Amino acid sequence: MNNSPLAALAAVICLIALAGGFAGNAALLGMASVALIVVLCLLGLRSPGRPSRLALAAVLAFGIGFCCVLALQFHLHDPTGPLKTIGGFPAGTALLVYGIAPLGLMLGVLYGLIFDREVLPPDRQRAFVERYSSKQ
Amino acid sequence: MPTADSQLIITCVVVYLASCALIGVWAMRRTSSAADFFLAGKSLGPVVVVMATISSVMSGFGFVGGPGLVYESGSSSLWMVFVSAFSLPVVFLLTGKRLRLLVEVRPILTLPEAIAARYGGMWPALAMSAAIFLGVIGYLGTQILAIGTVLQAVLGIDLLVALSIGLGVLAFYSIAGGIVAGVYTDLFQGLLMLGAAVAVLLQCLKVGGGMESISQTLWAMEPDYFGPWGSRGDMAALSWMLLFGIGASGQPHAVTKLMMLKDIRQLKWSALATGASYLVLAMLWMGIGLAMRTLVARGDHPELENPDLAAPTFLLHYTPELLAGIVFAGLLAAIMSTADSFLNLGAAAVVRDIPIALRGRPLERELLWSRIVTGALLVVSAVFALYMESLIALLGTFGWGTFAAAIVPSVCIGMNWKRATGQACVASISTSIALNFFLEMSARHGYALLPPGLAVGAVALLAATVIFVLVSLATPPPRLSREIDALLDV
Repeated sequence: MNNSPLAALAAVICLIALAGGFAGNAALLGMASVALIVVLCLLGLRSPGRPSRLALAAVLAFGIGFCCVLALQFHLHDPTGPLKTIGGFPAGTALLVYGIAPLGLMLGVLYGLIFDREVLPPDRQRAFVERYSSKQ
Repeated sequence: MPTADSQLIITCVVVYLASCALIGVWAMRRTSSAADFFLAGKSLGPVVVVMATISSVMSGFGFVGGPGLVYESGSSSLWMVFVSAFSLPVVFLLTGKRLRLLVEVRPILTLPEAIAARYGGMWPALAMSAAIFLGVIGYLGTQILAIGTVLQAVLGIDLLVALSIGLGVLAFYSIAGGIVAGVYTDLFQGLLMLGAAVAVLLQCLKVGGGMESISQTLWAMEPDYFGPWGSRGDMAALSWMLLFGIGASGQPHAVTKLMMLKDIRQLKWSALATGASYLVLAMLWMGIGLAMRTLVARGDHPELENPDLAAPTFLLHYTPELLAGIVFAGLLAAIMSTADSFLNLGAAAVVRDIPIALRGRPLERELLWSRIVTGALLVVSAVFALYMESLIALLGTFGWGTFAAAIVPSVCIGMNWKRATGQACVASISTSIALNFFLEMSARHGYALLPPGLAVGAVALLAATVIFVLVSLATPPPRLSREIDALLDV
């Protein structure tokens, strides 16, 4: 497993996020943070080989969805205009409550769905434990 | 803090404290070795692990400071809690499998021991132990002070007496039962907190006249307050999103719980359950702050002297007595569950991690010393909390950010990247400690070095990650043992 490209990408994204933070550009900081979360997830999924299409699609959908929600929040929030609500919350805040929270739970669902096939197939677990547990 | 004069509230809190003590007695019988004391003998089921994780992460800060932050600055702090929907599953994804497998094949009880196994040599484990110990002292101090303050308000007694009662119960079950008592009181505490959060949210909506009405009132008061970023602005909200969204993977009291699972395959749905359960707790954080601010904006309640009074004021004035009693017990539960986790981590650092890093083995008569050190840590933290409040406040703030910046690169990236080196681990942990201290201290003394809103911990986390990757790539590739090499391929 060579995860060096992903680790290097994480470092570059961190530098972009730092640049956004120090330049006072919250949108850049936010988008870079989402990208960092996606890269970390891929790092966690990419072992011993490539993640499946389902996993890749779900993580990318999470990242793209999260970035779209952030962009919408910047766009929708108009403190000078009248209040527009979605599900009782001001529109921008509703996207946090009804958008980001369910999107986030998608990663938990994905982890459960791919656990037996990709995260830790029983045969891989058994082989590892049988080979190394005698050292205890 | 307002004082409760209701017998029902006092009874709820006394019943809760007595239950914790009883769990301590039961757990004492199940604790016969250091492995039991620090890792519950790797015997926990998924429900216990999920509840123990959420209740130790949701500290007193969540039940008191969280509603206070919402009361003060609206939506800004919601970015700390709503991100838990993905931040806690990410903890499982990055660390769960490999840490738990490592525990399966090696006699590892703590995170610094896992670091020692992963990187080899003395320094990575020593640096990790130091970071954990510093964070633990700060966190413990703030939790201890919170226990005293809450009991003082509920029982209407002197702070020292309140501290003696609260710490007496905490000391009893933590010393006698170690982490076994800790996680089973956490299970009880977590269930209590979940029930309380749902009931309080419904009460908040009732008092505020429904969500739509609350939104109308708060928008009329200040549109930015209940906009997506809150009064603190987009920079604060999004840097908190980064710090709490990714930093959760670096909280040792959460990560260590995954090592305690009886069966590694139970990780499967625990990730989702942990994220979803924590979201339920977020309702209390959000509900009380918004309801209290709405009452003040409508002129139904005078402005609070201190935002941290939002939760106790709402409970004492606007909730039925029984619910208030349960939530006060839940509040105490949130504080004590975090405190017991940190006591255990601190004792592990002193009895196992630092001695193993320095001389290759833990202290003799480990279980006895673990109990003695747990008691000593409690006393030292109480003295710090009482007489060095400003230092404790600094260390308390420093805790989450230091853990995040120290543990995310070394553990979360390091357990998924063979090229990561011990030198990089030490460099990133040192960066984390130095940056967090330096930036916090300078901000507290009026020399803010960061743009307004940018969180210190977020900067430290980003910088430590960059340092970790750069130093790893700049130093010779590590020579991994066959076991660790295979572990990173699983």
